This record gives sequence, C-alpha cells and structure tokens, in this order.
Amino acid sequence: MDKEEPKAIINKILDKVRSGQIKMRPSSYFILKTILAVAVIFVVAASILFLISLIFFNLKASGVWYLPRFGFPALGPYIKLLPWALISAVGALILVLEILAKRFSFVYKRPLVYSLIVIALLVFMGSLILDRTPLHPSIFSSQEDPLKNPFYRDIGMMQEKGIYRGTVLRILEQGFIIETLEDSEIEILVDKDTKFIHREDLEKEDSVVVFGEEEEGKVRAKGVLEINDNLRDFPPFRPDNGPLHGPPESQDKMPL
Amino acid sequence: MKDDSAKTDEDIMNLVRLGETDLFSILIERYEEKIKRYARKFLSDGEDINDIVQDIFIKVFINIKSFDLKRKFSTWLYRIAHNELVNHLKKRKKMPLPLIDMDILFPYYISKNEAGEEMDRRDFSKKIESCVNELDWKYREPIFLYYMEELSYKEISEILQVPVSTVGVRIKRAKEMLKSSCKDIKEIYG
Repeated sequence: MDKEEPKAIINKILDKVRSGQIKMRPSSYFILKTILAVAVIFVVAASILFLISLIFFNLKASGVWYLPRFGFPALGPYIKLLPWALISAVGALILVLEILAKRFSFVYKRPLVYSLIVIALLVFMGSLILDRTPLHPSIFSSQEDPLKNPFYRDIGMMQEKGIYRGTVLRILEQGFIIETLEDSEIEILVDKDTKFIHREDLEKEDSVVVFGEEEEGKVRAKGVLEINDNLRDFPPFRPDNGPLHGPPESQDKMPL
Repeated sequence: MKDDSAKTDEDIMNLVRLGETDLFSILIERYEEKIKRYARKFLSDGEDINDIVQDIFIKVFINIKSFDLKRKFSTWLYRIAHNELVNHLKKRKKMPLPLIDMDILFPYYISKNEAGEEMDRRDFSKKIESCVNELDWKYREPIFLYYMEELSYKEISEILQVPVSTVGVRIKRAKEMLKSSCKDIKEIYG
C-alpha cells in the first residue's frame, strides 16, 4: 500500500501536466511580479517620504515645531499637538515597507532591527532633503483654500490651541499685529512676563511664532519667537492688503 | 536510452524547463518521502498528507521558471513546502498569529560548531523523533530540518527566510527544551 502511494502522486501530477491542466508560468510572469513588487516598494517609500516631509511642513507652518524653544510650559502642548495620526501612518507604512522588503534575501538574512534602522534612516534623511525643497509650500500655495485640504487642515487649527504663526504687520505700543496664513490679523499683547526669543528687535515683516492665550479677541503672549526657516517668505508678505484696522501704529521696531 | 536518474536535481530542473516534462517524475521520486515526512511533523494524523504533498509538487512545477539554477533545488522545494504548510495551517487556524518575534528582531551570536554537536547528528535525530512534536512550530521546524533532513543552518535560513543566527538560537533552545522534556534525551544528558 505504502509503496503504491508515491506512484499514485507521480501519475496524478504527470497526467495533469500531459493533459495541460497544469502549466509552467512563463518567465515574463515572474519578471513582472518582481517589477510590480519593486514598484509597490517604491510607492510605499515615496508615500513615507511625502508624509514625513508633510509632518515637518505642518509643524513648521503651524508653529508647533518651535514650541520647545519656549521651555518647559510649552512641552505639554508640544507633545499634545504633534500630528499623531500622521506619525502613526508613517510607522505603519514603515512596517509595510519592511514586510515588502523581506522578500529579498539581503533583507531577511539579517536581523529585523538592522533593516528597520536602515529603512528608518533612509526615509528620515530623504524626508529632510525633501523638507528643504519647495514641494509642500508649492502645493499649499497652489490650492485655492489650502486649509480645507485634509493634508494641511491642522495648520489652521493651531490658533485654537494657542499657537500663532504669522508675519509682523505693525508694531504697537503694547505689542504688535501679525498676519496669519489664513490672511487674518491678530493683535498680540506683550508684557513684562512675555518671553522674547530673538536676536534683534522685532520689526515689520519678521516671521514670528507666538505662544499665548486669547483674551477678548486679542492674544496675550507668553512667548514670542522670531523665526528664520525655509518658510520665511511663506505665505508671501502682502503689504497691499488694504487699510489696516486696529490700535494706532507706534513705531517700526519693538526693542527688546 | 539515456540514464537521467544520475543527473543532479538542478540539471533535471533545467531539462524540465526546456520541455522534458516527464523528467519531473524523477524529482518527485527523489523527494516525495522527504516532503511527506516533513509535512507529517506539522499536520495531524487525520489530514490528507498526499493531497498536500501533491499540491506542493504542482506548485513546484507551475513556478519552475522562477527557480534560479545556481541555487540548490532541495532548499527551494522545502521553501515551497514550508509556505504551503503554513498556508494550510492558517486556513485551519492552527497557526499562531505572527507577533513580533525577538528571535528575528535582534542579532545573536552562534557558535561555528553548528548546534554544538555532542553526538552524531543521525543518532540524535533518532532520539528526538518521538519528542519533536511536543515542541512549538517555530522550534520544531528548524530542529527537524537540521537533524532529520540534515540541512545546514544556511539552508534552513533560506527555507524559513530568517537570519542564520535565528536558526542557531532556535535549534539551541529546542535542544534545551528537549533535554528537560524528552525521556530519551534526558538519558543521554543525565
């Protein structure tokens, strides 16, 4: 009985081969499969790069990136305001990339931690390079209402959380007015407790991040930081926005 | 009349790819019993081993053109068998969920003397045959391939698609487990 079993399997398989029930897949099938796998890996890697650079852009454009500069009181809001959904999506995609890459022997022959470190380093460095290109500022500026785009929605929501990024329009006696990404003007009040972090006097057209609380339509600043990142001219300063309303202008510079 | 049975597995694979499909029977004859023994270590008695083994050889035939002739046929065959058995067990929900495995995550040092041979591999395989089924899947497979099929760490690493050091650490742990649970092994080590 046992001796007959192997023959039975051989015969069954050979019968299927001879009758054409089973056929060899052509070489082109495997070549296409490999090309497809590489293409999927490329798309996933590109998505990770895009998302990380988007995280950097959103953090900088919203001002959250600079919160740690305001010291310990700003650390709590900083951690809370990090885009955790995007960060989780990047983590999940890195795992997907690792799983896809594991089909290649140079990946599975080494401990997982090595390939994870290499993937994380590559995507992080790629994202840093991408962050220095005008990719996101260009996409953002090309949209009619970018803050309604799900990618950039968080930027417009940071004001409700006490973070204001904008360009100084005018210096006032008790503060200054900034123009935000949403083209709105906000009056910032400063006092002796406000922490200033900038090298020179605050001037018109300076980019600033303000960490503070809203008080009767104005913002009482806990901290003001002058920034000089690659989004310095973003959005472009628009001096011709029409007549400004608000308290009288006092001077061009706010001394430290 | 040609004597094809003297040819290597890889030579036969090449001829089958070139159209001499009947030669595939030589490969089935050479490996059928080995693959059945391998499958028996992972499937319960009630399951039809013949059907699964047949499916494995059909997969080999269908995918024959993806085989790299510079590699060893037996390693490639066991890889296909491993995948087929894993898929079968997943369908039967007998396969544990793939959680993060620390054995794969971190590098381990393994001795150059594979598995630290205290006795002949064949003798050891006879001793553990009755106990190997008590081990978890992840330990059972490498120890089976190493002692019973006499494959090297490198070959097992390619079959399981895990680092060589992971194979080493799993075999070492499997032996330690067997030392404490297997009567025949306990007798050797006291």
